Amino acid sequence: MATPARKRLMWDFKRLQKDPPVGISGAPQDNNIMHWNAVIFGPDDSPWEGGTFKLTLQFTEDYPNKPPVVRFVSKMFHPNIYADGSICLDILQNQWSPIYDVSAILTSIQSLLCDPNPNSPANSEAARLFSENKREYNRKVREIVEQSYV
Amino acid sequence: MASTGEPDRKRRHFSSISPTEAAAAVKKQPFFWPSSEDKLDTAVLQFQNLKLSQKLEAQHVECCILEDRLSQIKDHQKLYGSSLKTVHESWEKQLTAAVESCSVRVSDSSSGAHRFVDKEDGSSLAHKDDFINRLLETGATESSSSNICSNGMEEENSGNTSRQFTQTLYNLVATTNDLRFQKDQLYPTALKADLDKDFCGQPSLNELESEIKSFRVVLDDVLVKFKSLSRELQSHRDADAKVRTDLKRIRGELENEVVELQQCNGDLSALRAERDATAGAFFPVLSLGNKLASGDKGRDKQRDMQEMESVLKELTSLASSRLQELNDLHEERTKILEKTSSLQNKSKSVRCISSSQACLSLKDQLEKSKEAVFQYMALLEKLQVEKDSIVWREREMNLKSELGDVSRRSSAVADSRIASLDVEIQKQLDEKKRIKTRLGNISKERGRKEIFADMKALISSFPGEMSSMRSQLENYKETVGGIHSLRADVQSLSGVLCRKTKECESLHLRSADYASQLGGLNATVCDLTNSHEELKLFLDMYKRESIDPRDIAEAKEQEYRAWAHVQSLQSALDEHNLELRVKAANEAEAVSQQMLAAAEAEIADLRQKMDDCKRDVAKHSDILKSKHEEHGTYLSEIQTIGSAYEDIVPQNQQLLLQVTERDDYNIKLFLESVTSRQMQDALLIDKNIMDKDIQQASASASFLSKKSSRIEDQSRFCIDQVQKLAEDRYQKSVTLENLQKKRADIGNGLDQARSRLEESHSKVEQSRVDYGALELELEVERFDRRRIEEEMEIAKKKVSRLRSLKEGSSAIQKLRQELGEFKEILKCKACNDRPKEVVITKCYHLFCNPCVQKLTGTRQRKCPTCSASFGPNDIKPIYI
Repeated sequence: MATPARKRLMWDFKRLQKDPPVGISGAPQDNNIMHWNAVIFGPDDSPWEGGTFKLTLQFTEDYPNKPPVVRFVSKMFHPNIYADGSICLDILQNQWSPIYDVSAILTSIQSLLCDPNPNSPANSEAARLFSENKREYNRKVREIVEQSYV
Repeated sequence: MASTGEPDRKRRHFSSISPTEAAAAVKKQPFFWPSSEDKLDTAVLQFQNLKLSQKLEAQHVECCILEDRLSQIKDHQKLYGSSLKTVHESWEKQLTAAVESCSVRVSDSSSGAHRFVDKEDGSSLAHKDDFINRLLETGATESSSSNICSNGMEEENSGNTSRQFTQTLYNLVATTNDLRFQKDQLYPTALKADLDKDFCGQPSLNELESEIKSFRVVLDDVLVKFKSLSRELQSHRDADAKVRTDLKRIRGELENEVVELQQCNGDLSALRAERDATAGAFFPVLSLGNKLASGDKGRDKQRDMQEMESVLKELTSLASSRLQELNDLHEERTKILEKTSSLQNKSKSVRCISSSQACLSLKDQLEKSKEAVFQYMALLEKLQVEKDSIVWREREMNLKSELGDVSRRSSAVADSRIASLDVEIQKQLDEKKRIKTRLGNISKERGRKEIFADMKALISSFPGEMSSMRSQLENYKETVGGIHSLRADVQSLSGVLCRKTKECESLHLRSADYASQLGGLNATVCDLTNSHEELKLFLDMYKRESIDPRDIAEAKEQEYRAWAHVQSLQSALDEHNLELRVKAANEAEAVSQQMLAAAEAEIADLRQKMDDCKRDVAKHSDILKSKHEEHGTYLSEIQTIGSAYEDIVPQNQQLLLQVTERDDYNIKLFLESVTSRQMQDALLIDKNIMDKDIQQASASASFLSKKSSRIEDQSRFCIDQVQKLAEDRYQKSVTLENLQKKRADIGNGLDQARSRLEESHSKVEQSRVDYGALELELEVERFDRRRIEEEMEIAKKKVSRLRSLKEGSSAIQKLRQELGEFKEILKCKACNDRPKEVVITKCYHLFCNPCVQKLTGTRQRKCPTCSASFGPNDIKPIYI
């Protein structure tokens, strides 16, 4: 069952184990390398600081050529994250490139937390608060962060 | 230095002398004044005044100069203090470091090569001595410079000395390092030499070792001494500062004096002015003989002069006292300077001592003991902190126990509440039961409801019945109408029958008439037939008779006869007509008879019919009667029913009202039941919640009790700990006392060590002598060492070769790692699996062929690395 996708995912896993980025951890689920669980820590010096956000990554056999389906399991309040946890990120859609690996995806998502794109809102309330009432936005984000401890 | 210093000194001399001169001058004046009061004129006075003013000015200038000098001295002192500080710091840091390194080195080497150590010690000692001498020289220069009160040179000196000091220190360190290196090099050779020379040198070596140890002890002592001396120096410096403050004070006084002098000057100038006035304007007046005024003026002048004299006296006395004070201060200062010089000498010696290792070791010991004391202090603090924490814990425990009590109370309250809630629940249950029974009753009452429904149905069926009855009644009425019409028919039929019978009778009559007519007609017909036959016979007879000539009479008789015949024929016709009429009448009679018969039959039928009808009528009348009766009964019934209905209607209304009431009641009951159910549910939920609360409370109570027990245990443990700690503390205090005792012992040992140091000094001398002998040996050993070094070099080469061989394997690993990295670089970045095979000529990024083929298959042909779009012609194979 050593398909190119699986081989590539094994390589990704090795790379993630050997050289893990700051505040990111991920591993495939038991006996299924096509389905990963990941945890992103909220970046420091931001309202997301201290949060631990769980994600799932579902890969296909076309993996290096097609992006995985990434979804937040934890409840999120972010302009580019839908209510069901799916993420509106260009590199996970049309700007996907085969050279991106799991750590690159997770790093991009981590950086997305602090730098949302309010022009393509997935959560209209979050986008509105982000552009109009930053204090309320930060408060809500901190609530989410507190919820993420549970 | 001298250029700036000497004039100052001169000035000082001058200043020290000038007051005395002034005093002498002032002293002279009273001698001269009374004698010249009479004789000498004001010119002398003027001259003297001028002198005095000159002196005062000179004094003023001197004061200014003194002030300048003082400020200079101050600045210089500041600089001197800073330089002294730096020197002291450098001394402490570098020298101590050097000494420490020396001591370390010595301690390192003491186990092994004693001779070298000795040599080194000697050399280092020599160095130290030299260095200290230099330092002391600089100190001396400093002191001297401070005595001389110069600036630039002193600074330079201090800078030079510090530089020299640092240089010497560096030299010392370098030399010690060199020596260390030499020692290291010599160590093996020395060992060899030792081995070669057997154990002949060992006793001496042991001695030397002991000597060195004692030396160290002595050095430590010396260090202590040095410290005390430095303290003394500090105190002397403080004294110096005090002296300076005194000087300042004196300067202030001098200034005051100067002010006074200026006042005097002012007075003098005023006097001079007066004198001028007298000189200019008085003399002619005097010559004129204005003796009174001049006498007054002279008296005034005398008085002024006396005052001036007294002031001058005072001033001279003050100046002399100031001079004395200044001299005293100068002496004090010289004394202090002497003291400082002696102290510096002492410090020199102290530094010599302090450079000894004994002092250092003592220092170390002291520091260790201090550290121990600090540790114990820290321990004590910790213990106190622990104690505090324990106290806190106890308080917490108390609080917790209070909390437990509170929770218990709350649980009791909750229990009581639960009990009350139970009671409520029971009440609610009872209510529920009641409601249930009521509901049952209500359900039982449903039979009544059915009755109601039946009644309702009955009531509702009443109008139907009524309508049906009405319809029946209407039917009956119709039948009655039909009966009436039948009666009318019957009457009309009976009328018709009467008419018909009358007609019949009339027709009978007519028929009888007709019959009689017929009889008469028949009789005439018979007569006529007879007459007709007779006439025929007559005609025949006349026909036989009329044929002969008789013709006219016979024609006339024939005419008559024709006439008669016509007449007869006419009559016959009439008769025939009658006959026809009769026949017709007969026929009509027959027809009428037939009709009569038919009519009779009809009449009979009709009579039958009438009879039938009568019967029917009778029957119908009977029926009608019965019906009427029935109708009456029905009517009565209807009336009764109506009355009953009327009765029933209010009843019904009442019942409806009752029903509505019942319905409302039922609804109310239902609502009540619903509310009660809700209440029941709510109560059940409450009960559950309360149960849970109780459970939680009980759990929390148990938990709290556990906690309290645990906390009690902890508190016990803590108390035990506290006791232990107290014991520890006691033990620690005991140990502290012991340590203090030890310290005292060490102090005693220090004294002993000092004596030993002296001994060791003498021994050092001896060892120096030995050192000369040992140096010779050293040269021999140096030769050996060179040989050994050559061998060492060979061995080192061998070792390096072997190491290079050994490092080869690690290099292979490194190379492998690098190879792996390079392989990684050569792999396609997209799949990380296949090697790079093709190049995108747009951006010159390399990928494997399958990945690029997949990309070309997609709509967006972009480089995965830089996302530059490319065409299928931009892909070129590449051979790495």
